[in-house]
Amino acid sequence: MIKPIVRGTVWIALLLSVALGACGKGGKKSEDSTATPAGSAGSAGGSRAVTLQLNWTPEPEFGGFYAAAHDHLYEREGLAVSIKAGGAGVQTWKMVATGAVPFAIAEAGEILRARLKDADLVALYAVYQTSPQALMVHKASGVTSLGEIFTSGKIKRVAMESGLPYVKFVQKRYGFDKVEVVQHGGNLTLFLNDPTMAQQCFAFAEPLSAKEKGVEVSVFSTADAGFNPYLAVVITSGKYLADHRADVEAFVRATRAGWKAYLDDARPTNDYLKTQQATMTIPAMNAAADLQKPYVVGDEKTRYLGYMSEERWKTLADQLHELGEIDQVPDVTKAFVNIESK
Amino acid sequence: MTARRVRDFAARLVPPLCAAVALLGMWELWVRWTNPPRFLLCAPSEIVRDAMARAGELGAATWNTAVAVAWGFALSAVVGIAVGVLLSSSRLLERALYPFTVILQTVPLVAIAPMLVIWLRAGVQAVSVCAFIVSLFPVITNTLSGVRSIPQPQVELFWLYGARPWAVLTKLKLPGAVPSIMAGLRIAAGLAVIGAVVGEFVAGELGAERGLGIVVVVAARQGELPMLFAAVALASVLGIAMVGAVNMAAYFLMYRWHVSERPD
Repeated sequence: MIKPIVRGTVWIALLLSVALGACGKGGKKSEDSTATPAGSAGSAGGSRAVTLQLNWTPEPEFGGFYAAAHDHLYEREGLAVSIKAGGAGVQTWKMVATGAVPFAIAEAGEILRARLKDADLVALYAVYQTSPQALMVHKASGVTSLGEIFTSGKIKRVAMESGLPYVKFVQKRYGFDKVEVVQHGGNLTLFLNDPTMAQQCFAFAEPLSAKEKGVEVSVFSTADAGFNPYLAVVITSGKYLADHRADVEAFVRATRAGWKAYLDDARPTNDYLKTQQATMTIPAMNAAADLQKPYVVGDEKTRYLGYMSEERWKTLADQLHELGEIDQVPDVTKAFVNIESK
Repeated sequence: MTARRVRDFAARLVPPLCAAVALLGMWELWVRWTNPPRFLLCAPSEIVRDAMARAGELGAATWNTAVAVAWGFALSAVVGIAVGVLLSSSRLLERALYPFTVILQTVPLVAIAPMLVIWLRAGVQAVSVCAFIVSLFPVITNTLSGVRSIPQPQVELFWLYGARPWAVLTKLKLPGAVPSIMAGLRIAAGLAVIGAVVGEFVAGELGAERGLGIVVVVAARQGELPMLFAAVALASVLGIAMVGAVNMAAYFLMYRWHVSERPD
């Protein structure tokens, strides 16, 4: 629960927001579909009802969470988890910071920035050990590196989502002088019809959809270029963690088990994802699940699924500070908690 | 006479200024008193401080949006008045085409904007068209209504003196419709700003042509409330400036003969 004074402030902020007009971006809107299997919604059977707010529509990026829901792993931990789909512009961290939901998916940079603005957020579980953030181009364009997208003149237009830290990173490194940089609206239409265009993507998601539509693409990772944040992490608030430590640990345990199950065999979960309004086709999701495995499993430094290292958080904080995304380097040790695998 | 005008102007300006100062003062005090989390609310003084610190960025964004607004509004004024006059020339034409102009008002801009990016260059070009689409309808309807409202005996008098249709239009109908057209342009001026800013959310450019809409999106995403408020305030100033310009044009066009522009 938030304090009365904060609640009053929320009301004032809401009123002011109404006066200011809608600030949300176009594109996919948040959906309320829950992913809790039939019969387990709410607090059935004495389970504690909690919500996980996603920052995008259901797809293999969230496969482990849906696997945990589909295989009743959350229920076994005493939790009735409702998974809510998100979309472009959904600010999940604000929902956690205001107490609207206990768990959400956010990006590590968002967490560091929000913590500097008094949002008491804590990261609990990193889905990807390597950031799958990438830019894709038509193979026929002849582009062979991330830098060439911006400097070679072969690409005329690049679609990226404004406000994401990697945009600043590539702008600072390569400049936007030779390309027209447009808003990424979340669909492929523009890209598929323009061979001189590059588009933001997850290395294993949109390229598969483009291939299904007959366009061969080349994909260039921003992690390879030196910007490798934890791109999808489970967050909660410091208060929720302090008050419901057992539930948080149970949630992370079940999530880790869900990801193990999804890595072993993604197909049953992908069939289930399709019933949850996933936009990708089942074959594309199966292929994406295979392709994302190395991003999830990580390397020898990854102690267990979901692990986060202080070194990686510190590197990100330094990079964001250097890019002018944050005005000071925060104490990153308070930004995350590893709930160890038993 | 001049002193009286200054007094009138001051009498009109002081009440809203006092209200604004009082509201901003209460807002500032509330924030200082309650000290809310910075991602939820910021004080007006923080908005001013951040806006000053990033004045160059905000100035460039305001200019880009203003250019798109000006193009969109100018286009909607020219096309809107022309279409309004055209529709007024024949009841059949009006019945056939008017419903399609209503579509302009009902189709959500965010649904059209991605198509504009396919057909046009993103940035000022696509955003100008967004501003045009949103602001066109009131100009058409008000022009149509104004031209249609000319009393029939006046038209017949023109005919009696052997006036040709072009003379009836330019000497009677259009001048007579000016008050109504100006009312339409007043509405369109505000809508053009809304159309441009919302258009930038989807069809904006992130580089040199970034406008206030992109600043709003980035600030909202990053929880930069002072920048968000500053960008919204500048969009509002842009809207006020547009409406002010139309009001000024209306005054010069009508102060000699129309009751709405005469001094009290």
